[in-house]
Amino acid sequence: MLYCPHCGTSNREGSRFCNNCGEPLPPSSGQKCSRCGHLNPPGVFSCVRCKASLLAPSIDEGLRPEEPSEEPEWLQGLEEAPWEPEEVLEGVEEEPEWLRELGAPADEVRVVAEEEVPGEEETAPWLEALEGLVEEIPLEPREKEGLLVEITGALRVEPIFAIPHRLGEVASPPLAGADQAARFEGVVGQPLAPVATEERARAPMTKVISWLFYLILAAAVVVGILLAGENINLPLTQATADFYETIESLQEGSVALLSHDYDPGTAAEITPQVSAILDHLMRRGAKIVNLSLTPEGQALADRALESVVSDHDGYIQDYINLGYVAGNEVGARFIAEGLGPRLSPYPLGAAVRGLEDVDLIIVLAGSQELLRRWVEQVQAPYKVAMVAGVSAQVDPAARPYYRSGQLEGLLSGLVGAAEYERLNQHPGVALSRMLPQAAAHLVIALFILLGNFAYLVERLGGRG
Amino acid sequence: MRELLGTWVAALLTLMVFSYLISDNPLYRLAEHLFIGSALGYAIVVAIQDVLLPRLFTPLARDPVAYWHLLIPLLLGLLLLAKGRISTAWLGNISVGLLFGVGAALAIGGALVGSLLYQVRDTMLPLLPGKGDGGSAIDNLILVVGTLGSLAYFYFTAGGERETTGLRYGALRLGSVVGKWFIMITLGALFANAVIARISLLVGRLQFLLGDWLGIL
Repeated sequence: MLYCPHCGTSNREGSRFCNNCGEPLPPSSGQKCSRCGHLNPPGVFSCVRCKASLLAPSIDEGLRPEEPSEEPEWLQGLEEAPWEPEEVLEGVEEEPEWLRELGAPADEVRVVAEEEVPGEEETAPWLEALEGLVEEIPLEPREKEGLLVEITGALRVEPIFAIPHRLGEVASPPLAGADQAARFEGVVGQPLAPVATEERARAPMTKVISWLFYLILAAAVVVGILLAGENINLPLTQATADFYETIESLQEGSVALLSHDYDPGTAAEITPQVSAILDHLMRRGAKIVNLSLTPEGQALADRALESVVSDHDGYIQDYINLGYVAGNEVGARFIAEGLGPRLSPYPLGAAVRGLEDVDLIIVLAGSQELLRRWVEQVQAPYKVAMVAGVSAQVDPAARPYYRSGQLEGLLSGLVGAAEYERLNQHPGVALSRMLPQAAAHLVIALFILLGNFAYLVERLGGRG
Repeated sequence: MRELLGTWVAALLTLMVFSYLISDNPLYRLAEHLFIGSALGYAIVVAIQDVLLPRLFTPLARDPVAYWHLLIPLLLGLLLLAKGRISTAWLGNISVGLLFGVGAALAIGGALVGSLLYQVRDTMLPLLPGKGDGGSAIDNLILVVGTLGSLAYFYFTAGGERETTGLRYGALRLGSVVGKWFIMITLGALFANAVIARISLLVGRLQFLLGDWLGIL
């Protein structure tokens, strides 16, 4: 086995060029020690037997000028007559067509496959298959200035890193790649670019601008809260109107199933929706079954129910909170299949024997997965009427279900809650938050415009 | 007194979270760890109180003969605990296999019947306007062009470097350019909605601080 001194790849015995990097291989599988004649494995810099240096004097001169050593024969040959691709290819009678088409200039890297069988004239089939691929390899431009001047492609420093360090040996560079390794060291040893220094100096300014933005945003929201009223002229969206109409059409004694699938992270948007919906349902005299597919949802449902029920006397027996239903998809399907038995121990169980007795499912989802769970596992297979109240973040995912008719109505975020309060003619917390919300949006929009304007000015200035 | 204490704790934790705006600091980290810890603790309590006790242990303790079938989920649940040791982890594979198998079957079937078929059907829309229905036709056209363009953008198996001409290449190229713009607009809308949701949270927290905590409102 022959090991390439440049990339370390093992090549078949008798190979003249490396299969991997195309560099010429030494004539034997190791380096013969000039002092004792021992054949050393590739990659070592001193003889394993007598510790004599195996490095060429021209490379090693600067390090150990006093130590005279006889170069190996193959190295002497290399130094006297530098390798020329044309000369090396003399053994091949006919150059493959794809190689001729390459027509690479002398200064470009040329990959030559090893000669598999000496004397064989035809190109191997696997090499022919590569023909198209080789043609498409773009040659990288040569560097014209700086430390990497005259270098093309990547620096070949791998052989240096690939050779294991051994105790007691002088860490000298190998025969090939020493120049490129020195350049690599020069590049990584350079001081930081002045651009990075400028960026560091700019960092405190960026921080100050960020804080200024936070302050302006907070001030806008606080002023909005202080000035907020409930008589905001809010335009009404069709999705909210459809939601409202769906509940408005429920008869007294109808059964609505509310799934509180949200957590404190989205409660600021969905709790006002829940309050408005519960208020509407109780005014319509609907029976309400509450449950949650998230652990936090049941506690939030309890709080919402407590706050709304106090405004509706005589409604206490007409709602129930079944709490947390575990199991994700299985949990939703379990409710669809086993709602009757689940309700049977309670007074509401007399009116609701199963999903067929439920007139409307209302999903209050803080994430699109939870909404999809209800649509895919319950609405589509059982064809139950369904509406949804979602966080604004979930709106783009919920909108297609509303458009396809799977959701008969859709409330989106705090705006949806405010619209519903307005339709309900029962102003609440959502309407009072519209002014600060609008103020915050205005500030963000202004900052986006300002940022883009500054970028445009900087770009135009750079051109000028 | 309990409510007052709760309000103060909530207000201080809110301020500790806001302190992240200045820089990452121990107060923010403390609030973050408290939030994660309390959420996890709460979920465990709910799982025990709402699932394990009423649906498993209480019926089994009351009448083991009538509820013998509950021993099966109990055994499967106990097998999951075997995952804690490498030597016995294989025992838990039975429960995990059941969970994944049932979950995947429901999820894939549901996605096909509940989302994919409905959405594909909803994209097959009339592009010619009916009587007084010009707006709807434009709406339908945008939806169809956006859907086809987005699909063309993700069509990676045609139009390579060798195929640079022809009807198929031209149609795919045009479709992918249109689709890229639709995707960018969609991502912009998603981001805008995410900002709206976060601003709602900010308004809620500031309203809480000003009203419930400081009593200004």
